[in-house]
Amino acid sequence: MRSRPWPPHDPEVFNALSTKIFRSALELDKWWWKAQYYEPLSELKKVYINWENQGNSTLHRRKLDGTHHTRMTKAMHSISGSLLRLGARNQRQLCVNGAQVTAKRGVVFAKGPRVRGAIRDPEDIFTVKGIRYGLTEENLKPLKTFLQSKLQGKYELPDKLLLQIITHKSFAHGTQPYNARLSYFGRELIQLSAAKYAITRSTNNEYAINNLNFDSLGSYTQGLMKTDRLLKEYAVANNLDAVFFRRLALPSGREDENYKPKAIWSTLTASLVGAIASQHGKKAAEEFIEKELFGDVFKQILPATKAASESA
Amino acid sequence: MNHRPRILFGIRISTMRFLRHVSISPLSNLVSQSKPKPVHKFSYEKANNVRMNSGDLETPDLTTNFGDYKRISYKLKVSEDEAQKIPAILALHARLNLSPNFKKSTLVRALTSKMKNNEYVDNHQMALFGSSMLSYYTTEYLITTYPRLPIGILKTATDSYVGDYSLHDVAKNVWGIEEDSGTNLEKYLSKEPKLFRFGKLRYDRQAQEVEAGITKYSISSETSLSAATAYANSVRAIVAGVFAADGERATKDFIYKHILSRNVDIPSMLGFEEPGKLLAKLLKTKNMEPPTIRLISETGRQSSSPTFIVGCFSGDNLLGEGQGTSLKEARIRSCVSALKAFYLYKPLEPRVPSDEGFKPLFVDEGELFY
Repeated sequence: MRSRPWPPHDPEVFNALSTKIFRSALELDKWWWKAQYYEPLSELKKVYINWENQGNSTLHRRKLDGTHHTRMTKAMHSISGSLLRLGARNQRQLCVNGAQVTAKRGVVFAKGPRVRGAIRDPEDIFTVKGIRYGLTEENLKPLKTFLQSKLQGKYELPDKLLLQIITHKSFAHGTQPYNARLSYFGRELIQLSAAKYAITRSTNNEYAINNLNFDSLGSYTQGLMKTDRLLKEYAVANNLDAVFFRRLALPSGREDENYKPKAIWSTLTASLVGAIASQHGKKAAEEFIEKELFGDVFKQILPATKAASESA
Repeated sequence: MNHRPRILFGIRISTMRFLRHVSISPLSNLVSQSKPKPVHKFSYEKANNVRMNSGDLETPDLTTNFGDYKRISYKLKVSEDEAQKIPAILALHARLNLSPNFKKSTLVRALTSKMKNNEYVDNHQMALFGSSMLSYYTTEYLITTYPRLPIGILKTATDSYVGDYSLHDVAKNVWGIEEDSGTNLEKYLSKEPKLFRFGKLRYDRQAQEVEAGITKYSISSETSLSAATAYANSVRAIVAGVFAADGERATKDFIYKHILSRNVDIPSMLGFEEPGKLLAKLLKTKNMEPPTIRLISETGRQSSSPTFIVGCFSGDNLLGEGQGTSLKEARIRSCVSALKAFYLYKPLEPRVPSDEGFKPLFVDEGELFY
């Protein structure tokens, strides 16, 4: 939209910006949004003056007045810890009714603490704890070295998929490829593997069918094998979250080191499993689950005594 | 005179303290306990997450020895010889084309739900296993066939394959499983052998038809089930039985044959509130030209029943076509068809991850906007 030329092809918009008289604040607002894609504020100011002369209130002055940017800049400098980024100061040659008009527009982005009415720096949402989102070697390194260490790189995955695994749905308003569907698929497979693992243990139960004892299914310990908690602990233990793109809990970016909600962290492991299944097949993924998830990490999170597991 | 204000001061302090320590505020009665937030779960998700009471299980000292778990209630079992004598079981075994490895006594177990005061083996935990089996294979199938299906639709589609109601339909109307209704007196009068009740689905009912037209819903205990859940559990248990008898490969075939072969109308699950806007956003995120609607053909513009056919284009690419009795209708339909073509994208010759000659899947990037 921003790349549209001036004057606009839409004669309606052009007329509105130069001559239209707005009957209500709502109408002006509507046109403001439509018109903000077009550069010259001076044109818009004309409209505004036109509108104000009709005896309307000055409700929208702040929006339309070009000077408010400078006022805001001062205001934001007075806030401690705020960083300002001046961007997109562009000049443009325009032709309005045959006359050359040069429009200047400065956009100020607010960084750090929130300022009401100020535009936030779009760079902000792409950075988590100082790490910029992108398909770079540095971002993928933790996950890559982890996969290479398992079975001489049997489970290696394409780079794009690796980045998708470490991106949660909450990151950058969900505009980047994220891991929700992979983790949904991975979870289903983990659930099935947990059930299969439990029934195929050796047994002498007389009610077992073909030496498969179904009686442990639904017990506390068996349920633990498919919980978010196990998946989260696995991700933390293997440092899969070293680079993890998600929305920070606080806009300031300050976050407690121990704040690792299992609903979000579990998607790392689950989507890794899902990705392995989608690239190397079910059998490989099942091997991975049985060897990795149901190994040491599972034993660590088990309650110490039998009584504890029964009461829980 | 000097001391008087001091004394007063002291008294005031003590009153304040008294008030602070003894709260007589009735506020605790006013503030009600917050209710747990209702979590919507599909019936297949509920079936996947059944928890056993620790009182029902005999847990070994080392809780990870899953082979040593025992159900406390299990005391009796219909033997294989007895099961061979039940006509309904033999018929069902033959109808489902089960292999000879699948024992008739397992089928009896699959038709017995967890009930109060029941000492026979039941299908409760078999159903739990069968449920994970069914939901995995369904998800795998859907994710491979429609890689771009939004998660909400994916779950709804899974539920319409393996949820309680559809499995109820499979068990009752396709496989012809009957439930054990009728009183003991009726059975006695019709001279039906006692063993025959094991050939029917047995469960504690949540609702009972007291007489024609009157249904009693108030019967509820821990073990009571709705008809749909009971029937669905029998299907799940039979799936688990196939796994026990013939292994995973055969189970997969069984699921494809009986469950995934059913017709589920996935396109109708997609509903768009503002298809035009959604399509414009989608094209923007995919770096394609914004949508333009062009009239392809029309007839009877002046008549009472005009027909318009329009196409939704991005640049020179035709994304979807729509027809309608007004231009607006046709335009909206063309946007919807373009969106559906995107979300219901199907790779050629999809192979699921559990197949033999499996190739890496197409993985979608996720819904790029909400």
